[in-house]
Amino acid sequence: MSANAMLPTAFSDLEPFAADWACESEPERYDRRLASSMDELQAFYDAIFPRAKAALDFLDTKDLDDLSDQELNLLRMLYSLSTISFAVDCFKQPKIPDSGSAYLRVISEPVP
Amino acid sequence: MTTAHISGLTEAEAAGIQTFEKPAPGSWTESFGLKTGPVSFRDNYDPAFYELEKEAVFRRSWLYMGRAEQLPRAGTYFTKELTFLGVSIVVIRGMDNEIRAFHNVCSHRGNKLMWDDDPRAETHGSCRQLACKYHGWRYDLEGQISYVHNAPEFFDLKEADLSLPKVSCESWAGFIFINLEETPSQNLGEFLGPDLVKLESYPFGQMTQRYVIESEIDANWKLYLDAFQELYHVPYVHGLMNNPNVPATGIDKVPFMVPAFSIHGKHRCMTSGGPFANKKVRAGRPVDELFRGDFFGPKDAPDVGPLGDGVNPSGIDPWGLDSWQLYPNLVILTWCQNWYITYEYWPTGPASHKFVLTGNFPKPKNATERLAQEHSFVTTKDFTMMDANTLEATQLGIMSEGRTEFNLCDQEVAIRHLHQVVHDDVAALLNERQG
Repeated sequence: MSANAMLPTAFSDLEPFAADWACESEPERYDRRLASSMDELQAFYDAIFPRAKAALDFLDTKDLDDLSDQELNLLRMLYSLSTISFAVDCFKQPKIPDSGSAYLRVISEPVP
Repeated sequence: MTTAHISGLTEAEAAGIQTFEKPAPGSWTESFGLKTGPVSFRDNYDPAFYELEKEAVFRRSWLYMGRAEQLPRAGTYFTKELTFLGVSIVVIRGMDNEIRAFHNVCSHRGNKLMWDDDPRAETHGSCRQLACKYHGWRYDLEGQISYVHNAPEFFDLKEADLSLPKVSCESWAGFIFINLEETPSQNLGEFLGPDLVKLESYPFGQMTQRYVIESEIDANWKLYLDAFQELYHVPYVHGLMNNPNVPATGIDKVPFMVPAFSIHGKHRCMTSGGPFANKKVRAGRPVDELFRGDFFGPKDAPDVGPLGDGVNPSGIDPWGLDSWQLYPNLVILTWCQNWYITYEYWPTGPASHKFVLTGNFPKPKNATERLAQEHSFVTTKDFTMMDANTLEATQLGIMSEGRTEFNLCDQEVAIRHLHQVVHDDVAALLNERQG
């Protein structure tokens, strides 16, 4: 394991995406979605989707309230997959079509 | 002209639509004694009507402040800024475990009592006493004066006169309400009525995993309420949400019919099949399967015990959800997958409001359950965004007065009811003023 690995060793293949997508909060994840190109969203989606079930199985063996930093980062990357999924699956653009200047700001969310 | 012709469906498509029996004399609207003609939406932007509405509706109804779980211990509090009424409320749990509400104003010079950094922003926290930042006056958790700095310098201070101004405050099912009337004309139970009171047995208290969303929306508060008290808009506003990689299912045309509406005094309920409704025309995405969740909530409903005898007031089968519209501006939406949503719509002007959405789930046992909740909530948020911007377009259209009368169908009966109740309350106020 490299000294500055962000993710558990078994998921080191996802390291290239961790800096961008292990966001701490929903607003950060959503901002990242809006700031990304479709190529970037697709690349992350294609990398994490096939690994997501294994990540869930791995995290299911842990206590959610006692995750290591690396495990927490992995969990947060799964949240990010959810955050970007409509953009990739349906909209084909980061922003919701016809959403103009409307916004919804998450001001409180469960931890972790 | 048949229904199929109006909506552009083929006969085969029309045959696949779920329809439901209506009460005598054949429509929800007439069964509730409401008119069927075109309506004016002037009440969505007229400044004079807005002023009357504040007085007749918001100063005379029980208003939702927050959940009991937000006040877990004695001394925990939160503030609610009702800026449109010029009122700030502090809601606090006392040493005796009672929840009380006070006007958030110091008895000395009128400084706002509980605030952090920005006096206009809502705050929450925990305290031993409520202390004024200005001259240090303090109040105990029950609102009695407990300390006056350099008291001998004052003239004839009477302790009893210095308590914080109390606001009527009652709780139901863990939902905390206030009423700004000097003496409320009804207590909370009478205001809610027997059907809503029954919902008290629902396990709201178990659903402590809470998401909160806020937004300022450039549309009248009733417009957003209206958007979520009909399903007529679903195939068009949300048609894009279907999985585009599966064969077209006609979701862009198929009406979503509501199985049952019910009226409960000033309140309403819309009951529907939720995940069971129009299943043939919706197509989920692989990520929904992966995370075991979607717009309707976690696919594997967690065990929360009995749902009580207040759900599914119309007794539909299969039951998917109840959307309770509590007059004037709170919606509680209970899903069959054992989570609930609340919506609040707080006026900020004749053509704007603050929207607050909460999503509430039981505590997840593991990452899989956590992701089912996260994915359900995130999906709901993207759906809701589509509604939000549509509303601003509606507000602009109505305000243009390019048209002054609009047509509501039987699926939009709850909209008629809300506007009727608001108009009745305003009329009662005007009658009173004329003596």
